[in-house]
Amino acid sequence: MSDQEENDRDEMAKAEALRRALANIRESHESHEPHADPDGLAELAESLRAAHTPSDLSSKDHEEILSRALPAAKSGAKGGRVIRVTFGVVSAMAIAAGLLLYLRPTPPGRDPGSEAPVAWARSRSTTPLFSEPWKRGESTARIDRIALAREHDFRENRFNSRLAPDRTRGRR
Amino acid sequence: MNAAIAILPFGVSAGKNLEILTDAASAQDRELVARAQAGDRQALGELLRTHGPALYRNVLLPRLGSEAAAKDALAEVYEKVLGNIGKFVWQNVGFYPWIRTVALRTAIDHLRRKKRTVLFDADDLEREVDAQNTQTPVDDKLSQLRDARAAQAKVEEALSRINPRYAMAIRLRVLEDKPRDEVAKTMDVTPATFDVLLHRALAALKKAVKSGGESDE
Repeated sequence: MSDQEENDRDEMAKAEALRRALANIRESHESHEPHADPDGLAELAESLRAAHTPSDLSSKDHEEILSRALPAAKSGAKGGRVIRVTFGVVSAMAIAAGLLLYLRPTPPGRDPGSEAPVAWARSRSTTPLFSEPWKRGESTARIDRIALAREHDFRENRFNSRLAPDRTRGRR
Repeated sequence: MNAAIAILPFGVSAGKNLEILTDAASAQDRELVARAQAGDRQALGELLRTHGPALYRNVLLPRLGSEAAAKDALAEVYEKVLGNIGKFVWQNVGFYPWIRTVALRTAIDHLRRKKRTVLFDADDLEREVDAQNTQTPVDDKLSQLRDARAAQAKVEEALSRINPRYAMAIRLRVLEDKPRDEVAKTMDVTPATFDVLLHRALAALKKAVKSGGESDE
């Protein structure tokens, strides 16, 4: 075989490889598999076609690229809607609860104007606590007795103020 | 945009029509940009839905030369826009020229990173970015059309550097996508000979593109 014949055969093999590579380019777009193109000639052909008559980007591919680059573009919108709905529901519930408290009906048989006034524990002397004279060395027991009496008064007043706050307003 | 078309009065010139349409689109873009800068991802998504497909078709795909590379670059452009939308200052040319510059710079990075055999090289795109800085607002409004034509002109210029018979083989088989047998018949050769002819034609074109001058063949 002469050199010329060998070159021809080599060139024909390369031409055949290019033909297959060009045919595979379109298929490889679908499968994303690389095609055999040792000289980069099929790649150049693809580049020429892309520059001369570029194809459109399908909306499906575009949405995929968008969601990859901006993951929050869709979920952000959903999140915003959820926050707005939650805020609305909570606000409505708060307003309803406030209205209910304001318009709270008086229990049957209970007239707010006719209720007896709360009996408050008044400031008083400690003398009634000690009917007999103290002996020497009993000062601690004496102070304890005063403290117990004051504590009892305090508890009573606090209970009354919670039970009927509207009636205790302005009386302290 | 459709609303703008609907309200166009009869007898308005084509140039005036274009101006009204671009103004309506700009007003919409401006509102979307303001919302996007305030953190509204949905508004940013709308902006990218409006301009992304044109950016892909007219800027990225012709310059990067493959669909896979152009899609990767588009995703990268979107990430850059997301990170830099706060720095964008609205001017009277709208949003597209800004995102186009982001796309060109992204494409430059891609071309430098991956040594592929494509028609454009990074220096071509550097020149386009430089040219953007000296363009008038009217140039900017027409930049989509200009980008598409520039890519076609680049192809024609490359083909003009090789043997006309080679250019014809490439034009019919690659650009016009005609069947192999039909092109072989048109060129008066057998299909097997046409394969060799096309191989030689693309090899000559590759050489011409790389050298930047006329091919020896």
